[in-house]
Amino acid sequence: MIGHVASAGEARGRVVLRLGCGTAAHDAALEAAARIARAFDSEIEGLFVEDRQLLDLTGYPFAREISLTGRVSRELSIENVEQELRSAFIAMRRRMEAVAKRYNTRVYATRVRDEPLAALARACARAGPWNVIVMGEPFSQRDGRPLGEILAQVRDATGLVTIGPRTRRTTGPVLVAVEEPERVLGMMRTAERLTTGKAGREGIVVMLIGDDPDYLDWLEGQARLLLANGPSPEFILAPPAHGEPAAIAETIRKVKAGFVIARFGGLAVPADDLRPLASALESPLFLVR
Amino acid sequence: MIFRLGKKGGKDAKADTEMPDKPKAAAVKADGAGLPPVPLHADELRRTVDLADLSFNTTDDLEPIHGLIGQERALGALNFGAGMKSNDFNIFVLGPDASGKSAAVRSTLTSLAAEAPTPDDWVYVNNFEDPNKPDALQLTAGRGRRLEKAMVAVIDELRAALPATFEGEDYQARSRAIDAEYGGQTDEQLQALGQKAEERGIALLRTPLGFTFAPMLEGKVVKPEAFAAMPPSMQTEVRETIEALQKELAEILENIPRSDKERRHHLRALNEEVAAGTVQAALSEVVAEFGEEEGALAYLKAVERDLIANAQLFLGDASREQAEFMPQALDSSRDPRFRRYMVNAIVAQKAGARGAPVIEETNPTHGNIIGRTEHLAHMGALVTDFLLIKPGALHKANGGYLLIDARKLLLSPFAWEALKRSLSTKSIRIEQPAEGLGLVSTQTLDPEPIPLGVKVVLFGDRQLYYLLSQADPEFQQLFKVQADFDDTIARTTENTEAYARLVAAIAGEHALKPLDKGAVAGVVEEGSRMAGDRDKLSIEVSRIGDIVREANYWADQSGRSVTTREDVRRAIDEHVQRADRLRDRDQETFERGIVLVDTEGRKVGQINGLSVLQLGEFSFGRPSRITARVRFGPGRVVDIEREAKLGGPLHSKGVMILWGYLAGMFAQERPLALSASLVFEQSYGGVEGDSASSTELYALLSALSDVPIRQGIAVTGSVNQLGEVQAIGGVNEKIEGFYDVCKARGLTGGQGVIIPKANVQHLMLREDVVEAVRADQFAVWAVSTIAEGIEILTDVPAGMRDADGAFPPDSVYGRVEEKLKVFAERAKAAADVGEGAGQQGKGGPMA
Repeated sequence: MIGHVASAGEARGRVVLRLGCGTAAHDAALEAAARIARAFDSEIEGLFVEDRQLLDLTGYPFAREISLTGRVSRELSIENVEQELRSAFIAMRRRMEAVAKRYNTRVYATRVRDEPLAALARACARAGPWNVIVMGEPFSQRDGRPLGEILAQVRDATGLVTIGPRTRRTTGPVLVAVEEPERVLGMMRTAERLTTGKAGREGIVVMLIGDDPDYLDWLEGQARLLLANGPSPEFILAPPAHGEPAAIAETIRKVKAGFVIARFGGLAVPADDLRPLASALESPLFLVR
Repeated sequence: MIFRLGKKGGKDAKADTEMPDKPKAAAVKADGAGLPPVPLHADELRRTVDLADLSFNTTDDLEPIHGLIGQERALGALNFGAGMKSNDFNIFVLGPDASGKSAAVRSTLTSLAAEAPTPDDWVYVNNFEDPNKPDALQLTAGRGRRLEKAMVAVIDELRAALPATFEGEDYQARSRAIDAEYGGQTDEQLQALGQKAEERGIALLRTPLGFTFAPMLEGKVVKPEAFAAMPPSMQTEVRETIEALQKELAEILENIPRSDKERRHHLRALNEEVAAGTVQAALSEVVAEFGEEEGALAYLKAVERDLIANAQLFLGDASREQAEFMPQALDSSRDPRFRRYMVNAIVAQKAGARGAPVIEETNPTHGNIIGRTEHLAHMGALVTDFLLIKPGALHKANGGYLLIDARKLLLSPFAWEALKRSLSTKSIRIEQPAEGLGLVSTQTLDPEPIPLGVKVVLFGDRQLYYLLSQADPEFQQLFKVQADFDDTIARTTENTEAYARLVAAIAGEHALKPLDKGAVAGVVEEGSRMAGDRDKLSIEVSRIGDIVREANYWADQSGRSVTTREDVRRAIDEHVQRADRLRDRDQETFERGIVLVDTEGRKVGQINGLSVLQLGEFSFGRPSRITARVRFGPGRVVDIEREAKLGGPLHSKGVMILWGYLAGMFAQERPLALSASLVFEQSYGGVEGDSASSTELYALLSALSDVPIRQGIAVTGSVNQLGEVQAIGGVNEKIEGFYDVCKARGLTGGQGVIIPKANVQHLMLREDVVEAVRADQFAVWAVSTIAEGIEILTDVPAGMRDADGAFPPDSVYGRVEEKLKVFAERAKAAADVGEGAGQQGKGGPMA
């Protein structure tokens, strides 16, 4: 993860902004990519993936494209698809450049025709290992598996940033959602880097998450011990989850964070149903394995 | 013959120039024909203040007097105009500049205004129905600013309260429920359709502009070649399945807008319900405080509706730019999102203010009079709103008095018309001057007009007043009261005392040393000099103030603790000295003989006239040589100034009067066969006025009679056809001008000035001139007829017709008549010759 970069004392990494050919990238995703790139003094690679299967589909005489309004249905020709992809890429590049200019970061765009996951893995392998992947589109609410697949298959990435359907903010404190003590230090370094410009651990909120009160007490003690060096960040305890992710999601919302750093597959970001989180998450989500 | 007379003819005339110029008083008496006028006594030349009449030692003993003295008529008119409540009884204050009338009017109106009711406040607020037409609200005095602040406080409160309300558990839960109900429906339907397709071996894929379906095998889209290798029946089945799925997909997608609309509708209803409570609570105090004010309640209701409908304004983050460059929170009143809820108090009385306003607009431009709408540059365009409405002087003075300099007002484009329009319509309507010309292309406003009840006081001189009366019919209708301030007051004992108190006030106002009696007397006497009348006092307060302050300076320089007459005199002298560079140059031309003026001896047909040069506020007199030549001719006086187009109409009129006088005196029995020419020698700049007409007549009589004129005497005065000498202006400057020339050459005791008797009352000569007269070094004669004047100038009796109707042969008039008789005879002889010649077909010289 990019936290390794920080802990290793290395200044640079790379942000791979994955842009699908289906929907336009979300503003919050672009902002998140730029903010991370600026924090880590890295560059952004806008990876525009043209799904090869879509091109294959044009060989079918009966293949048709149903418009987003559902009112227009037209033949899916190779010319149409290529033209649309080219236009989408150009528009995406312009938006990326505008955001990057505002954040004073470097950006370049690449366009590949491949299977999406494979394209992402290849791009990260090409300039790894200190990549952070930023997904341009909101995650699927019902199913967290695609995120898991990325984390599992793209090895040359240290973290995955994604946004929910209600994400609208990239400013505010960095919320570190801690479920195990062994991840505290790495996540804190990432958080510190994201709050560059602020003194010490100002602007960082450590939220301790556990299933029962005893565990939470223990976790808090461990976390405070680990973070004893340096200024202490603000600690908050999520109510004991008791297997109910909605309660944790609501606690996250109330913090009004500009970034949430969490482990994928835990109580905060369960691997399967992301609906509670999706309805509460108003900031980008920085996932670590 | 009692008088020593010159011989007839040109040769004799030349000899006459050698005659001594001292008057022969003893000879005149022996003649018994009448005593020539004696010179005025020195005491008649300047009216001094008798210090015994002053009842104080220094001005510290006096009660200062502020305002004007002796202007009861003007102040009465002012009080009348101020008391009239009608919009057309506005006041025009006439009077000279620097008379202190502005201060006096301001002082009077301030006193009246203090007793008048305090006018209401006026604020402009947003018109939520039509933002381009801001509404005007009338509020009780002192409450405009309170409403302004109250609305800022409301917005401040809502900036904290509304986000908290919308962040609350209750709202979030309900909001999520709506999202889940409507937003989730589509997601679920698409997801279910994808799942259904997957079960049938079909993949749902996104394209840049929509969705599509494809046959799938083991999670991958089947390549077309592989699909072609499939049995036709299977291909048909796949195709039919895809077509069915496409129909389902189209239905789902078509429903998205409807679903979204319903979601938005429910969400809006929820937002309004949640916002209403918070907004009403925030506004409750303002409603309680201002609900009684007319129009305020309706406005606050409109604000409430708009706040509820636009609660989202309070939920968004500040713009990115603001966050980058202005990390601290914006003042609500400056936040563009909330401008429409702000209040623009354009007329706001201070808390506890009493009385009506008295406003003086020193720069009466159109915008400064009726107010203006300013603009901001935004994205290359000029935009505005009701907060950029700026009040004009009419707004500030509404309910009170507005003081404006009329000349400045008239010189300012569109301002006069705007003021008249406002007074006529009794309302202040703010509009850009260019709007009327159709030149405005940028966004502008049409604010609701504000009712006007103001008394406008214009200041101007008389010329301007009469010009406006003549040229602008509306002027008389709107400015029905004229407060006519005189520039002088009578020099009575009471007014002299008041003058002293005015001096005391000036000394007090400027923290000057006290003035002693003598100094005050000096100021009073200078006041008479400024008035040009010994029985008047100038009320040019500004100049009086200058003298007092400059005298204070010289007292300081002399180390005196009290300002004395000597300091006043020095102040006056220094003031003159600073301004008289040109007079010195002019004086030099006489001393060096560049300008020819004789101040001794006698000459026929030559006399010294006097004129006044005005240079700014400084004027001085100077002599001019006037000569006359006569000859036999067709009967006319040639005014060379007029012929050369250097003479003005009044001067020409004066010369024509001479002809009337000569004709009346000497042409009762025979025609005037005279041709005469008159000229101001070495005059290059034009001559105007008739004050030299008597002088010219003397020169003419001298030329006709061959009696020389004393060159040590200068003359001023106009004359009528009956030979009566009439008053002229600038008598003091003229006498002093000739005195200065004579003094520079050396006073002989035979020099002086003849003035009209009617001007004696205007004499306020310089003290050095008075002293010279007292010492018999200089003289001033006052005459009422030409006969008196010619006797002084020639030492020869003018002459009176005897029982036979003839003048004594040795008198001036007798000699004139004799000369004219000779001319007439010559003319007759010439006419006879002409008639003879005429019989031969030629015209005569008298034709």
